[in-house]
Amino acid sequence: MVDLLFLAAAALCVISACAIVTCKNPVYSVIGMLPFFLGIAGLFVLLEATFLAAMQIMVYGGAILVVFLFVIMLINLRPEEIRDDFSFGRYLGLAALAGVTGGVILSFVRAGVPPDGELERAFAMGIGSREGQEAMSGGVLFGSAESIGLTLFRQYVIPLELVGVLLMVAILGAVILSKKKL
Amino acid sequence: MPVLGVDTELMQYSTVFLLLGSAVALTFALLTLSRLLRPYHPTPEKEMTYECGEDPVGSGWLRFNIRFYVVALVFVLFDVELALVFPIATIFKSLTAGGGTAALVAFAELFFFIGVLFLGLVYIWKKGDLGWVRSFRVPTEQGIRSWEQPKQVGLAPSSAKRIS
Amino acid sequence: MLSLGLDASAVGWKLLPVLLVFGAVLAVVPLLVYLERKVCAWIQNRVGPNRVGLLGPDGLAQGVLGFSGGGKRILGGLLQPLADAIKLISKEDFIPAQADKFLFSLAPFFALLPPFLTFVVVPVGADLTFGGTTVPLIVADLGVGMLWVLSVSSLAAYGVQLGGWASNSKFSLLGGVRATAQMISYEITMGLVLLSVFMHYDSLSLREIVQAQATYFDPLLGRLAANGLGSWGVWHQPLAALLFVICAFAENNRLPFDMPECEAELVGGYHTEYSSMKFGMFFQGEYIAMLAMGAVISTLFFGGWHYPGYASVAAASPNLAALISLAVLGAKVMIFVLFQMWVRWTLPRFRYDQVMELGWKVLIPLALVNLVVTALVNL
Repeated sequence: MVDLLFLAAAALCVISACAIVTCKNPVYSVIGMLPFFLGIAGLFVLLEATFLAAMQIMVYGGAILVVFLFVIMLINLRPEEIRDDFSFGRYLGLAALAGVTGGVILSFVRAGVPPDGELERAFAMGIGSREGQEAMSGGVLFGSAESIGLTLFRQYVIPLELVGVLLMVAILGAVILSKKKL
Repeated sequence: MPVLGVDTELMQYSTVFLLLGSAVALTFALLTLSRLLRPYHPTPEKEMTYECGEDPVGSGWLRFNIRFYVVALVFVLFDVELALVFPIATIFKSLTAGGGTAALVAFAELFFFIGVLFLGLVYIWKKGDLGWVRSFRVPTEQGIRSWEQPKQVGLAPSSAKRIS
Repeated sequence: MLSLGLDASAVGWKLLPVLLVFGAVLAVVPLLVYLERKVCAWIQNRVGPNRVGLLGPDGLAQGVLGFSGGGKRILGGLLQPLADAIKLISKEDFIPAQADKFLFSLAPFFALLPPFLTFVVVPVGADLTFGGTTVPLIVADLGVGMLWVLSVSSLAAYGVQLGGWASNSKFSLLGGVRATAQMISYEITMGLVLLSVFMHYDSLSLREIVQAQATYFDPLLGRLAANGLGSWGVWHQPLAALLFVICAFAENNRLPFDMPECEAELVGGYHTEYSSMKFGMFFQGEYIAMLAMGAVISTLFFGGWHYPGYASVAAASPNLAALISLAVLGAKVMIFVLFQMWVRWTLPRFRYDQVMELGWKVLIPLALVNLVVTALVNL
């Protein structure tokens, strides 16, 4: 069942990703990103990272896409202005895509399917090593906001504050970039 | 709760899809019913975009003010901040329950993070990017016309004064 | 559904809250349309819809059966929502020739579905018990709880943004852009307010938030007191409650925040070009959003389904207590819906610069102050 859901979410992601790059109208491309982000959120849910899923929808689906839409509406790219020319670069890109996809598939085939539980363990290790494991054993649900809060508080205090400074710099940058004259 | 075969959290999401599905089905049913019943006699006049009864001038896809873009960009940054503070806020009580330095560290962590972003807000406030009515000067034949930013901000019923 | 190896009855019971929420929304929305028109008429000292009723000179009974039921109109206008629905369904639906047809048809879904999905995490009543099976009256008790509401309502901006853009009309575009900027500005305040709310309740789950409001520590008695109204979130987080209600108005684009569709300057804003059932979807979406916001506000700040005396009723009969709790939440939601209507027909509209400056210069700093104060209180 989980495998079927994974396939459904993954298919949603792949199909909408293809739609994003093939749509000629940029607004359609942006709208195509919405099912893509929803699919990613679905994958997070399947990994029991529910907090990340909610934030994926809120930050990417609700905020970043809105900015993309604003930009595209702002520069007002009309569909007829978009040139549709065949070029050598396009075939080169197709070849590169085929090569990368083939390489990824080949590497998976050669690596084989990991044994049951291996992936889950790997993900559990990745999120917070010893402290994270402690948080999990302390009755805090893995992937919930609580477990992430504990990890942020116990392990990543300094990075969190640095991210805060980074966000402030980004706010200043956003305002300064929009000025006509610096 | 009885064990439901799959993970219960996943099972919870299945009912979400059920509600979503019924809502989508309902809207499709209404639209289909409407499509079957309603007349369809399009004329060029009917399909014209509304512009106060006149023929529309040019495309409706105008370029609009860049301020909306600034608002959206600052919104993204605050949204990211929210995403990072939600987990801390949720466990704040349990962090401070023991008291002592742990509580102070938790408070300082939160306060510093919020404070740094508030500084950013104050900066764009001082720069005038939060104000929607800006003063600007336009040279005309009669001299320079300028609109001053109203002194009061917020709810005060102020209107942009025109000084010429 | 696929065969999951599930207990059939368990799946059956999980359908109950879904049906309950779906049915309630479907049944109440037409009534709200009628109610809004009546409330508006009452506030403006008018009569309001009073013709399309069952009995009386112009009633349905006379039209169909030839039976007037006396000369007086009794509850005239009660069938007005039905008449409205028939009109919406049977009107010609035309899409402007210059419009982007696909996005034009897609936008109404974004107006209707997010408010519907808001109900997912709202507990609509106490647990029912049927022969040993406990049925929680909540569509899905998601771990992310209130964050679900926040992320789903952030998707509502697409309805207005796409609707406004796809129409290829100047009024629609202006309305859509304004609406989006307004909704995202007030979403920040909503998120900041929720931070202090989560901090106060120590939980994201609306189910636990209702439980937290059921019992509270009484400083006078020096012990946990049950069933008190004193545990309502609004007493502990008054500023948060006020800010959240203001943001709810702005998110729903209701007056005094109806800049996106202000008919006096933008004709109809983002739905200027919409007609027939597609307009009907925007229209219904607004009322569902009112209901959803009412439910969220009463759950966060006004005790949710909980009511004084719940514990004693539940001791006698849990199911009776649960049924009463459904009615209690319904009543609280209706009070908030009526409040929203009252405000709509009382206050004038803000100017757009006032809307944005209120959001960024007043509400966001206030929400930040509230957060710091909450953190200090819980230190």
